[in-house]
Amino acid sequence: MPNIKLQSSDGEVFEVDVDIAKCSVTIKTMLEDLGMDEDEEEVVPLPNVNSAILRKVIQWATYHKDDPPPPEDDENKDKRTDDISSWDADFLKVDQGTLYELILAANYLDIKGLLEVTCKTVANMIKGKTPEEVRKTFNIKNDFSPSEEEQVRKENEWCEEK
Amino acid sequence: MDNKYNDNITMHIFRTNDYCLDKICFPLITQVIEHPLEIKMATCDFQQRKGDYGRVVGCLYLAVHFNIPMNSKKKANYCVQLGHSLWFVNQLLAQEGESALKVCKPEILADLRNQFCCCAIPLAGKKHERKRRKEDYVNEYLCPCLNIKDSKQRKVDFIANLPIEVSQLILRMLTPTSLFHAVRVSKKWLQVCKLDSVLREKARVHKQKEMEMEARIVELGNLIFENQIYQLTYRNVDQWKELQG
Repeated sequence: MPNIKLQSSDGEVFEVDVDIAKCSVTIKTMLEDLGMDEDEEEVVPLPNVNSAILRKVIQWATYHKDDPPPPEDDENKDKRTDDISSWDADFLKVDQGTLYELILAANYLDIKGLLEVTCKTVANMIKGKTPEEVRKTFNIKNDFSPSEEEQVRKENEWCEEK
Repeated sequence: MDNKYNDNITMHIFRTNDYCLDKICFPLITQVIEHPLEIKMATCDFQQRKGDYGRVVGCLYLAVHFNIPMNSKKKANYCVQLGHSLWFVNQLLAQEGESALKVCKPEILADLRNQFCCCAIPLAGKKHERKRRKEDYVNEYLCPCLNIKDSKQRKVDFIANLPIEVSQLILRMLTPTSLFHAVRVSKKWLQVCKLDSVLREKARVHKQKEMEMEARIVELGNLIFENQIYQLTYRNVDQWKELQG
């Protein structure tokens, strides 16, 4: 299997199987557009991903390399969030800062499966909680006055515009 | 420096990751580097004054010098965290001599917690204590003064900080009930939901259903309570009970 080299923002170089690297649409496009030959000693710079996060992303992509491509989704359909595999759930037992950076990396690298599972994890942190519990979970300051919040609760006019 | 407080003041400098430098975002501090820069004190003053409820509070007013190490080729990527704001090193330099930075000792942090906090940490004079791992300092001194339980448990407001399309992706995964709770979390969350037509529609549909449900409850209730019980089938009653429950 041919390998390519990926360089993180802090300069660490990772050698990865091309097929694994290509689960990132960003890298795949880059390779195709630039016509990088697989046997060339080219290093792909990833200025938006640090080594700690890149290591995790590669770990995830390696485990999921044989997954079928995720189905096209209908954005109006409710998505399940309780179907996270136990390997993924374990993999995502990280602090919020790491999870945040993983989401940013998945978004930047355009890895749909990883983006989806990380977003589900955050959605599950919000689900079933009262607004106050949500604020506590993410350390958010309530900037509504009590009457403003009551108005949002009662009228919910934010959704009226079609 | 006048050493009457028996402490050397040292400031922990946080190297932030790339995103953080762009966004100056507090929870993203990823790495603590101990003494990355040579810091010298310029002035140091201890003030005592009466705080709220007659408590005596004191704080050290400090101005600092930074010497950026010779071997650092990169532009200074260092920030100092004061309370919830990050200061770039050059911003701090501009403050020099104005006593704008407040640094306090751990023992008075509790009193001052609500006024300000700062990541300057007095190191005890003993050598072996200085060798302790940097995480210890963060957890013992910095986190308590920032009201954070553990540096590993830093919290991130995902919805406010992620790119909006990702935040909306997350919010679309919520059940309608959770979505209605989410819009009440903060103005920013409300804004993110309001800007997404998919979320608006989801909420409208749910709102409509709830209103219909309410109307049905009233209608069935009226049937029962207006002595029209003879018109009711068992099914109506069950339905009513179910809706009420």
